[in-house]
Amino acid sequence: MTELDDEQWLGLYLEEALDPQRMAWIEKRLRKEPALNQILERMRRDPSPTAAHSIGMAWVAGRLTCPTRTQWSKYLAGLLDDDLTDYLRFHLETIECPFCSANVSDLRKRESGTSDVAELAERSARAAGWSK
Amino acid sequence: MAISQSDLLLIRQIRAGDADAWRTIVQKYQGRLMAFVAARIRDRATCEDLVQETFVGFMLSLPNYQEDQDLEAYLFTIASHKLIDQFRRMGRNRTEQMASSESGDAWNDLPDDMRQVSSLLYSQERREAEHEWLKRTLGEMIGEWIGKGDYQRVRCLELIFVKNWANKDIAKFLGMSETAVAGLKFQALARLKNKAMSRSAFPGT
Repeated sequence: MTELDDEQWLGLYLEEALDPQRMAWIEKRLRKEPALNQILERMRRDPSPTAAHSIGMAWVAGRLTCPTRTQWSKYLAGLLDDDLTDYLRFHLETIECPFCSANVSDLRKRESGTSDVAELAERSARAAGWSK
Repeated sequence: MAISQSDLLLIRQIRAGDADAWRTIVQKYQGRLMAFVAARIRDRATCEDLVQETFVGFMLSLPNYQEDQDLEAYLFTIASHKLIDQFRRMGRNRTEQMASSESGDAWNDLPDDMRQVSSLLYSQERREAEHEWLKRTLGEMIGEWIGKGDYQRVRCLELIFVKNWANKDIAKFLGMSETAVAGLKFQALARLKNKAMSRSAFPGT
């Protein structure tokens, strides 16, 4: 078995790059090990990218195969060629990229006119200290 | 991905105290952040709170925000951390709803790519340098494959490295032989190792 140190595991955890069983294992350890929590807090306070060096983590962190929002718009409108359409469907439905899923969900809501972004945006602006 | 020119302009306007620029950023990213959080938390009010906390977190971190960072990725990272905070506040294992078991054997078949590319890697600075190098180099390789229309290779390697699927499952899903899957993985790893060895990729070597 390939061994990773705690910081590498936590890096993958923060990047949501672990499968459910591994996530469960990390969270169980976080509940029991104060020292591990301290490492997690230190890593989260660092605004620079989490220090990690696995290929999968670099792939996810760099969003190396995430289509652009414009490409997702075209995908939803059926304007892409077949190869690219197939790849985007794969990225969404098989890779289950959470960031692209969020973008597609938002695009669908905006296109259907069911988005309530304006109202929520005003509340977020107030929460962050920007008032009219 | 690099930050877009429009986002860069908005960031600079926000730093100058422009409230309208702030509202524009929030309106632009609110929807996708809500969708991201809502995929994990059912309660809508909690989702809205977490997204608001994300924007507050972004505001607080603005002095540290590097302008070459993709803004969407940065916001999603903050939102991920807020989700982790929320699950810990709720005092439960979020993956309890997802995992059918907590088998201790689930990670025993980690692919070899999880090893450090450089066996000399220890310091934080070195790890960050390797992380950035990996993103850049892997990004170039992926760009090359996509440019050639080699989506099958990209799918195969994405399933290997991102989803950690077993070779036999990838072979079945993509209609390839297991040998072909293993071959693509070997080629990608060999190419990365060659690039690492042929360049002064990491500080201190």
